Amino acid sequence: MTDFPQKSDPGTMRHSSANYLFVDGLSNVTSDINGGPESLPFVGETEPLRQAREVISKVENQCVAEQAVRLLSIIGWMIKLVRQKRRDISDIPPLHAYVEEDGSVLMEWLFPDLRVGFNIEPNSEDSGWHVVSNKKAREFTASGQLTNPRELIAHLLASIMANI
Amino acid sequence: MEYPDRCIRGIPRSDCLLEGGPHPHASLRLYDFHQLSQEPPQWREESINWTVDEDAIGFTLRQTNVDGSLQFKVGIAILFHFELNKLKKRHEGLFDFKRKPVEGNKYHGNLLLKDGLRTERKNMIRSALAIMSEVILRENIQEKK
Repeated sequence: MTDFPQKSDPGTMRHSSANYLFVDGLSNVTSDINGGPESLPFVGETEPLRQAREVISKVENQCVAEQAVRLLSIIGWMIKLVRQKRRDISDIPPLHAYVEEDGSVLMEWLFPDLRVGFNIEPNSEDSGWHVVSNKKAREFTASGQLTNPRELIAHLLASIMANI
Repeated sequence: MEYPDRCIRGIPRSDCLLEGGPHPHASLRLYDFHQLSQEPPQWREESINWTVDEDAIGFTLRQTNVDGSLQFKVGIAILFHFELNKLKKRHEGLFDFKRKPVEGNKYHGNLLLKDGLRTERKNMIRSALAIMSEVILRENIQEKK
């Protein structure tokens, strides 16, 4: 079993449980529900980061913009790797991004039965991620600081894409 | 306190929804929790209407702003009490809900989020609310005449 990169917040999901859910649990659950790639009930895009890139290009706070660009770069790179491994996956749900009133950026990424989010804050130590799933995927919740986005994204995408 | 089996969150703007398939999905923006509760301990609150009777949806759709315009132009999101209860138990002390009838709105209540949480933790709970929301667009609702 692969280690999950960051432990969840206290009181939400224990580290070991999150591992189990990401690596093992989802494979069973989503494959049972969706039955295969054709039934993906989300409108995917060949350029899932297009809208997020447009939004980030207009962000005024330099620290927020730099973090967001780095995050998008990592996500884009990971998507490329996933597509190289899984040629049957062409369309991926779009990553939605928007600027909050306080200048931070919120990103939401919707997958079947699962939502992933990132908050990019002016102080990078305040930036974070969260994942929630619905009852079809065991209703787990997890969150943490965005201290190692490369490892986090790798685990998230590997787990999610393996089950599309 | 007894609770109806579901509550309604009105959708005021289209940016409270995300496109992502054949049906719209609630965005975290639907659950901002901007309003600070007046009652200690400090919570942030989001207004809902409980389905006390069969007119709760119609009442919600007819609610207006001060200028007379419809408050929830886009539609409504339905949240089930048993799911809110599970969320409350999972995040004991961080998330809660209540019935709070006010003058002119017997259905009124609040979703409550503990103030001062780290943003990703707050967003995790907002996202959990979003994923359990069943969005119904106004155009798809036919009121009884």
